[in-house]
Amino acid sequence: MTTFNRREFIQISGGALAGIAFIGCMPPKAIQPVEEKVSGLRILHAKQTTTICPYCSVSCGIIVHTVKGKVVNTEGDPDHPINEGTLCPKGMSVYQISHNNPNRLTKPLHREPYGSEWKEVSWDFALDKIARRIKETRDNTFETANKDGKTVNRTLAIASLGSAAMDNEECYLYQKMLRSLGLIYIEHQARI
Amino acid sequence: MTNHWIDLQNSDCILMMGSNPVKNHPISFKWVMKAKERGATLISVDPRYTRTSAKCDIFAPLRSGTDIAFLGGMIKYILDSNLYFEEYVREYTNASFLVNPDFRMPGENDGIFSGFIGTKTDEGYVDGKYDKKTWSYQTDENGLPKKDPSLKDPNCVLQLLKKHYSRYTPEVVSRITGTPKEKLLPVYEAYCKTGKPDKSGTIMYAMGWTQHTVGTQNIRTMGIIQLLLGNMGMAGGGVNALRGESNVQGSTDQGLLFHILPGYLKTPKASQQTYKDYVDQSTPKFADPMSANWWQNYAKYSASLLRELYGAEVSLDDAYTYLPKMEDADNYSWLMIFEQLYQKKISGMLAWGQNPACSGANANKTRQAMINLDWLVNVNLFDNETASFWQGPGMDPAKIKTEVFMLPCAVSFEKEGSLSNSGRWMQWRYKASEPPGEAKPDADIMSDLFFHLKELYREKGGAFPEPIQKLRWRYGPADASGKLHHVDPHLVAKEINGYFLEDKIINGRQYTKGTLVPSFLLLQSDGSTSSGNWLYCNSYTDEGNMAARRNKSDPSGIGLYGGWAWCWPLNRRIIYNRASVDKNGKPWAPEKPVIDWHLNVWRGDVPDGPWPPLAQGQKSRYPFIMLPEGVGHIFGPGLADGPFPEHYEPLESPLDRNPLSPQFVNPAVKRYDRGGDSINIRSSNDPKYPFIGTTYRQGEHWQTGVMTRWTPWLVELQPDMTVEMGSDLADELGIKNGEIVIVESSRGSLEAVAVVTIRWECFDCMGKRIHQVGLPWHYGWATTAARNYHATDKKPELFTFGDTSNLLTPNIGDANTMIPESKCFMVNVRKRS
Amino acid sequence: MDNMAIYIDITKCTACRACQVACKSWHQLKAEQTRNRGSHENPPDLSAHTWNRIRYIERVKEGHISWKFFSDRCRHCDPPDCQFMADTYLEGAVIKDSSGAVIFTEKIKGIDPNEILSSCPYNIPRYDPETNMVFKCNMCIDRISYGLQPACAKVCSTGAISFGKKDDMLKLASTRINQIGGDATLYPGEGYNTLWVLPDKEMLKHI
Repeated sequence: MTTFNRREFIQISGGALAGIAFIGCMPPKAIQPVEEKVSGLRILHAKQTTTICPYCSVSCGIIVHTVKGKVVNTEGDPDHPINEGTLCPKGMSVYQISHNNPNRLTKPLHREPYGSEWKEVSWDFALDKIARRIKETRDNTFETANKDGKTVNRTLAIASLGSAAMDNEECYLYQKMLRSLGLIYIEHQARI
Repeated sequence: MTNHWIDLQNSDCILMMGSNPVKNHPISFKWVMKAKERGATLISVDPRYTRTSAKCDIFAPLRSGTDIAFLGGMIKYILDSNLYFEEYVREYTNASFLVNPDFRMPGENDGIFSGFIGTKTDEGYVDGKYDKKTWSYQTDENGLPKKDPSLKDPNCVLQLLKKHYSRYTPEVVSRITGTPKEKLLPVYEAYCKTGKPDKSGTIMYAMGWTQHTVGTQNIRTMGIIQLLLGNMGMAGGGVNALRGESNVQGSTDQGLLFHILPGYLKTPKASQQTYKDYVDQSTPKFADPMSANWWQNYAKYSASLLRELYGAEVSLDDAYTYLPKMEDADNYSWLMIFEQLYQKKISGMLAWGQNPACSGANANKTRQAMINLDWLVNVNLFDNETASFWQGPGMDPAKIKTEVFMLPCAVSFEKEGSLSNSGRWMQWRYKASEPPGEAKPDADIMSDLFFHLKELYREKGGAFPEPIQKLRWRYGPADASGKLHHVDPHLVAKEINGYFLEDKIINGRQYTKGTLVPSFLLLQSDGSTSSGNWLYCNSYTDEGNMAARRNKSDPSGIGLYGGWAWCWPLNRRIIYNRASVDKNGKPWAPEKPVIDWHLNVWRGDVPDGPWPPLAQGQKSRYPFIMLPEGVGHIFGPGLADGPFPEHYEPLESPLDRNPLSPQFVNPAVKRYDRGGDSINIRSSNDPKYPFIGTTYRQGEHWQTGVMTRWTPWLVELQPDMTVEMGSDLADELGIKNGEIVIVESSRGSLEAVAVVTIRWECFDCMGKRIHQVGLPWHYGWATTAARNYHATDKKPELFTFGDTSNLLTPNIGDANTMIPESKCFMVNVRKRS
Repeated sequence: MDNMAIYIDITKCTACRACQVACKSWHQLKAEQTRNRGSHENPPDLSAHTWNRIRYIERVKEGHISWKFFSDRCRHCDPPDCQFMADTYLEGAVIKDSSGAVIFTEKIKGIDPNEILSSCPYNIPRYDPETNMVFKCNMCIDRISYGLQPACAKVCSTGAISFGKKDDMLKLASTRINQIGGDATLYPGEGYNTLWVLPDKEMLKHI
């Protein structure tokens, strides 16, 4: 995972350019002239982590380059047999869904009944309130038996939608939790 | 997909119909281009000329919603010209089976199959369902189906097929589809060349086939063609669904749908009161010992699942009682959820990584229904139209009671875990960076929530707490109270694979308690093994995490890459591969063998079962191991709307009648519009809505755009909601290219930029000129400049324009899957006044 | 370094535009607020923040629709007119590397941007008032110096963009032109380090 993929390199003799500053050879920031040298190829000493694209179901390999925990670049995984280093525009853009995107949600948000704005809350506050809401609805609507007296152990007052973007392990856990609560209305993207 | 992405390179002919891979699965096209370089013929069938069409050898336009007519014509062409692969059809399909003589088909039965119980109206039958009694085989004294290997008996499946599709002449097809006859025949001719034993053709389809009231039957029609041409199980063949989301295959495999538990086990019904009832009714029986009838192993898989859920401390009977039960006759799918919510029968909703306010059909109904929620939880990466629905257009927050939580989660490379692609490859991905701020992996959020719930029930009691209290949740280090701090995905993956819960000797071999089960062949029905999902048993074994493998060797020579990651079932890369060989186990296509019987062993891909080839008689098994009969279904009695596909018009059609029969719309669909509530309105053949509307994607956005609308590099490429239309139509309406226009259906309206193109020609159907327009569905009000952003709202770096095309789509579903008909409905387009 | 070249076979381009995003991602170029103007082509023009751009060319040819996609960018001329002009003011502002890449250095700030812009026969460089500099494709000189492919070539999934020794790229182009037949042609010509294969000469009218 952390070894640089040598096969990505094409065979050329290089090095003539070291020491000259070029426009475009810049660290990950906005467009600005900098005193960055070619020797400063920003992924040269970056850690490489392999991942699989979060978009369509072709599941291309992507390498995420990080320096001190920060994502500095993402590009196709040349060793991946499906995409062989190539990507589509969505797969190529995942740098911008990382922490580098200032619009990522970073805190639980709460909207009170009849409220007009979001408020930031703690995880504990949010999860405690959600758990109470689920319990209240479940307890009030739980059917141990249907109208014919058959045991059904369910609630039809809570529905769940999602999620085809989660990992397998998360999907499994999610349905497991929902079914333990007695939900029947479990649906997701596969239905639309 | 029965096959996988790289395998597309092995095809001799690729039909792209109901999909637009260049746009929506761009890297698939890398392998399509490779096939083309090797001499394959590429065919594009689509309402308009797409970027995919631009790379194809043949393009044929068709009116949206007429795929069965188009393909039914191909079936007739194959049968009339004897282009089918006779040995394959005779031996590997049910073509020779004799059908109940009382079975009737639409051509002789008022447009419907025999057995419909419902109401007759002036546009045909509605509000009912089929009694399938006559959709059965004739059986002999041993209960085995009677067969006619000569395929000549008038009641044999092949002859019935011939009779049914005799009505689909090129002239009739052309009148229905609007495809000029001279463009129809080249498609048939090119594709049917793959009926030769050593040739293979494949289909790439996506939502263009599923999002119809006849969606399942669209795919069935192609399934029949693939069986006739002997393309199933072959390299470069198969039926390939291009799935839309990174892990929609995996999330379906893991049972995130109302009707299935993990591994496609069935959700229990109220009539199945005991575990024994459930297993008995879920296990198919078939008398022929040569049929593997794989689902006869049902009890092994259901017992292992119950063990994973509740452990050996809870008996299988009790664990079964803990599972919620559905009403036998009720449907609990997406459209029904929003109907129930609209009727105020649902009060809480978890929208976990999903944006139903944009993604559901009839978005105005969806959004109106959401007002009825007491509470809503949305877990997401970015703000979206669901979490913030109370701020949306036409909403007055002061009147909306819903308490809403929006929880921040991690992106795919901020956590570790696996996903399963369209080709069933399960691949492991790693954590590269921490999520920003307090965002967390979904698994940790749900685990924390679960422990909050468990603690509440422990403290306060409540309705039936046992299933919650006893649920096994041992996926990481816990504190003294048993609460987890972090879910370890490896532990979950291992539980999904499954463990031996006891020491066990199977076939003379000792297996030790606590070790991972190496394969689902070893799962047990007595509760001595656990496995969260039998299909994934073999994915995480004592040899390690199979999904993480990165071995690039390919001894198969056909790009199977069996050492790269892992694939269900049992690392089998091409399913039904026993159909790729003759009765002696020799490949039909020796140049691209999938499996091969050699020196008394199979080599190549993991075969569909270990049995020897069919020539070895009783020791062997038929190739289609998941079907009770063991052979491919040309006659498919399992579906809700007929054993053979039949053309019906979409719920909303530009025509006043079905050109083929008195039955207008698929009789077996659930019709919300007949209830009388204007929210479910339908407008068919209505001069107010004269044009067909269809929805699709842009290559630069994804789903409702919750990720891509917040990605500036992608918004730059596709900033605005558009309506694509032919230049003829634009001229008639006086619309200029690039102008903002109104598109409206009887359910809603939206603004879109007109993209006027020569690539969309008008159709001639039944002598009527019919225009079609297309709209992407990725947009939503939350990232627009027009939104009133509060101080606490995130504001995008680049704005998008417009709202979702689902404002226009009808809430009507396919008769089998309830997937909405988002691919054809009637609209009007007009200039903005 | 050997003389290298980018080779673009427009018959293989599907206009997925991953090359546009790859360029922005590698060079960390900001996204532009655009509008759909009745075409999926965007941004509307090259800019200081957009160094390559796919143009959509929709035609009717012999009664059939023909939809082709042209990746517009610096031709990396050999010799480059921009360097010839720049050298008359300030040497080292524009350099032609041994790889064949034509590169604007920081010294370009010392030259009237209009001179640079007007020196290009293909109207490629763009001025950025914020930095007072002129920008264009630099063939990912940092990547190629380390033996990596330019970002656009690496990301291209259908084989439309290739990168390698110029001799090899010319051979590829010549083979492809023979394969296509008709009046398929090399554009702009051998004296450039970005080479396009066009399926017919009529395409020249659209470029």
